[in-house]
Amino acid sequence: MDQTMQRDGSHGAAATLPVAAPVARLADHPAIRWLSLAVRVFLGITFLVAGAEKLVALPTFGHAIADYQLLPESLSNIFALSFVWTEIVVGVLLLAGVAIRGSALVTSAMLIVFLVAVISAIARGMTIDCGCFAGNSEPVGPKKVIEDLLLLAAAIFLIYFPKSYLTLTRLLRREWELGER
Amino acid sequence: MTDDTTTKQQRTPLGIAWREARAIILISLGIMICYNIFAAPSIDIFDPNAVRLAWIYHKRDTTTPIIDTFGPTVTPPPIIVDSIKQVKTGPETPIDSVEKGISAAELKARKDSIEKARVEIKRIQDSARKAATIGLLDQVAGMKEITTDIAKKLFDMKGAMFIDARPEDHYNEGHIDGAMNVYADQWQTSIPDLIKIPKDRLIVTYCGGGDACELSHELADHLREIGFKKVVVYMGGIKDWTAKNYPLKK
Repeated sequence: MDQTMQRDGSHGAAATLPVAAPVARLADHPAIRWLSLAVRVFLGITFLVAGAEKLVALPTFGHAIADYQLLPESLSNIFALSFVWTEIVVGVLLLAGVAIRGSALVTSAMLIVFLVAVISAIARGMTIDCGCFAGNSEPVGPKKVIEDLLLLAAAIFLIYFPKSYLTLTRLLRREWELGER
Repeated sequence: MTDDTTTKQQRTPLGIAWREARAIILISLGIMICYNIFAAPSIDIFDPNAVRLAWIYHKRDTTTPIIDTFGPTVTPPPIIVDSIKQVKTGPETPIDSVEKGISAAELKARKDSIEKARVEIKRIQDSARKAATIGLLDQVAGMKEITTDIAKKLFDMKGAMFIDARPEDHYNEGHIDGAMNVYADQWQTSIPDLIKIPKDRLIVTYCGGGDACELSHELADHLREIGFKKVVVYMGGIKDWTAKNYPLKK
């Protein structure tokens, strides 16, 4: 079996790759694995719900992006469409526990984009809908910045501690190994 | 040695994450393109003038009456502008013509030109109205609830089917002109009438108006369940419609 692929399908970087030994030990701790599971499920549900809601009301999300006045209006639609599908894909992958590190990195990137947009809107004194969830309109403000920062911290945590219980990769691998015997 | 360093970099948590992230982004873009091509209605994301893309641009139109918005892109050719001036000032009378020394043939040619201009203006106005209607319908299709202003615009341009979700006796007391009655609690009895309506027709449901009125939402849910794709609820209901003295029928 490939030494870099652990039973949980997370490539086992923390255990076998050049990562500091304390971090590697910490990543294998059951408490960290449970915490990682909780963070993964929370982020997954958040992004999946956010993406699905926006997909149903794409025009609303397109308008929300245009309201930030950061992009040319002609790019708002393509940005809305690609953003929504990326949210849905990373939401599903996080919930399934597949490519956790990659999903967490994409999630972090999206959250950084959100943060930049929200902070710039606050700095320009704009009172616009944040466009975070289509069904629940909330204005941009410090509360949104704190929420995004917490979500960003959670996503960064998953990049370094992706090992968790109940991942689809781990379940499939176990099934495959049983079949080999 | 260099290969070893590169491999180590690729195996760091961020290196692995980056490799996976690229695949995720590619998958997302692939799904996005498939969705845009196959899901109806498709959005033409690369054409800034396409009607489908207009969900951004129509936002501006909400500040002005849509029925009067002929759009900045509809500019009549110069010959028509000249003819419009003639239409506004009126054609020259024979006496004027004689005074100016204009021949009968030239006068007839001018009249023909004015008539052509009238037809062309009407065609441009019709196409602009049509574009505005499509724009409003696209805009409304993305909503779940609409205001009295939008309901009135839809009513004026006959862009939607209004359905009164109240009991028949309330409907008979006064309803939006042209609205059909489907009492939400007994909606199944109206299924024979409902199936005659095209599924992609924009439907506006309404009831008495105000917070206590749930019938329009219930009916909207039922209509969506049986396959209607564009169903919106007019929140103000008959209360706001009456308050604004909009057309009622008894």
